[in-house]
Amino acid sequence: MREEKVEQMVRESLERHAHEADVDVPVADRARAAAGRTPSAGRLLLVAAAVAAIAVGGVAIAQTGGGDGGGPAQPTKSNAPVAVDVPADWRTEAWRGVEVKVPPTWGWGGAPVEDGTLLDCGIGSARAASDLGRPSAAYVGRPVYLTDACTTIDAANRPAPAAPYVWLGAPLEPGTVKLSGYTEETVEVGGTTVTVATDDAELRAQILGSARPIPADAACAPELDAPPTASGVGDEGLGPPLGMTVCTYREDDGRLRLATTAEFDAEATERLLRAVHRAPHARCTAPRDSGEVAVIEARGEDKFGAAGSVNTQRLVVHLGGECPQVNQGEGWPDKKLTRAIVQEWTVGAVPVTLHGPADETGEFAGLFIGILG
Amino acid sequence: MDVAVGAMTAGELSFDEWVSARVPALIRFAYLVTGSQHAAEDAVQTALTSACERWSRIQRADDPDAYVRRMVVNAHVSWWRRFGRRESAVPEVRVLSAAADPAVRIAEDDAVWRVCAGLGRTQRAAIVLRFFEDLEYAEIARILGCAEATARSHVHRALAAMRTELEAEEADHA
Repeated sequence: MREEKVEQMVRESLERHAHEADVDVPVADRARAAAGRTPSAGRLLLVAAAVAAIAVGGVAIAQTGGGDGGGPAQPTKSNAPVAVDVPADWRTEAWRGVEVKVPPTWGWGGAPVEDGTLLDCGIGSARAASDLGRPSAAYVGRPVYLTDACTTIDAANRPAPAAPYVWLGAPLEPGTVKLSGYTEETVEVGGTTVTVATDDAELRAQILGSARPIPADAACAPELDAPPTASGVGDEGLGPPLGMTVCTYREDDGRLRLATTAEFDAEATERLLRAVHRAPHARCTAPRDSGEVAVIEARGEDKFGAAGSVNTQRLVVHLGGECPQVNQGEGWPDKKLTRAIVQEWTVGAVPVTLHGPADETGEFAGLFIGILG
Repeated sequence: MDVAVGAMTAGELSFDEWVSARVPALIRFAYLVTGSQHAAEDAVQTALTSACERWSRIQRADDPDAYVRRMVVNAHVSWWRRFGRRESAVPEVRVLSAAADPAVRIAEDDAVWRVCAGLGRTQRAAIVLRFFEDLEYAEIARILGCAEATARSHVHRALAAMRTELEAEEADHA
């Protein structure tokens, strides 16, 4: 049976069944009545409304206030920039316009999502930093759909946290609330929010104090209008690899916004470049709006340059759309995306932040969130 | 099957004006997504309650219809989760109107509706958004909060299941 015929039958069936619904029901009246019984403004407000009021670049630490575990405190105003040193082994986590330092043992997971109301679509630790041999239940959460079985969060009665966390970009109002033994502080930095919940005041201050806007000249731009152009390094290719930076982006409101950043060593870079070299040619063209993109800046020695000089190659990985592929730049063939190409950099936050390619064969299983449902 | 709201944009409409024009389409959409009248009313009421509380913001959105459709989908998902259901609502069986060949048409229609009932909630919403609301994949992805590739995959897999079921129906009637 041809796909067009199936589609036509689906359209006709849906159209017929749609008219079975009784549309003469007073749902609007019921909604108005229900809205009248509900507080019109919850304690949790949209980030966007408050962004304009906060100067970009200032790390604001909230003053603790309100209740003492007997209920959520009204968030108090943030006003005191604080900068605190953090241990050298802390890693950097980024989301959109902000980067923050966190302890190396913290894992990765989900944060609340805003969709007209506050939703839990997978809040909590989803991936431990197990390669360190001492995983922690604490995690860094990003506001992505880890499940489509979302639950509405009651802003006035949020449950006690199960573990310490840093939420990047959670739709919370700046300020401080008490949550059953935890103190949760939210500040705005770089046009987004950083929320830290822990009962360790010093740790909280260290993390919040490390938050800063991503500078304009950073290796990973906070947002892009469109996927950048890949750039090769000429016929001679890259010399012995030295390392690579991987910036991943998710499309939102027509722009690609920074989702994760990570640095990799020479060995990982060499494996990635070898995997790209071995991959089959792409037989299709990647759309400009593929939804999720990774930009990889691979660094290697410049074989024909002065001693110590470095050459770079920018690979652009299109994860979404109907043609997942890697662009290598003018003069170099686009390559079909393979597991070997992505597995070098789908570590840390990536598997719980990007949905990845449509994966009919399971080739990319475990490397991305995958298809929800 | 959007209902045109005259020449006015949502930004010029009060909640009452907008909702009176949109409720029938929203209920039909929710009925297809949820598979039952009761669940559809529940989802639409939840979405409209939220929209009513936030109307000053929603009416400034580029596409308030998409905003509310997304809330309908999420309201259904939240309802489903709240009651611990792991299965889709059972579709109500109605008598279909006569067609050129009523027996074949009813069998095909039953097959499509049956497959819809067996789909995951997001997959089913994707099918409805694509083939009832006639939305592009980018818009479907935005409403479902997933990557465009994921939205395409939802639809592709659902159609494959439909084809299998319909071909089985054809074989039965051969």
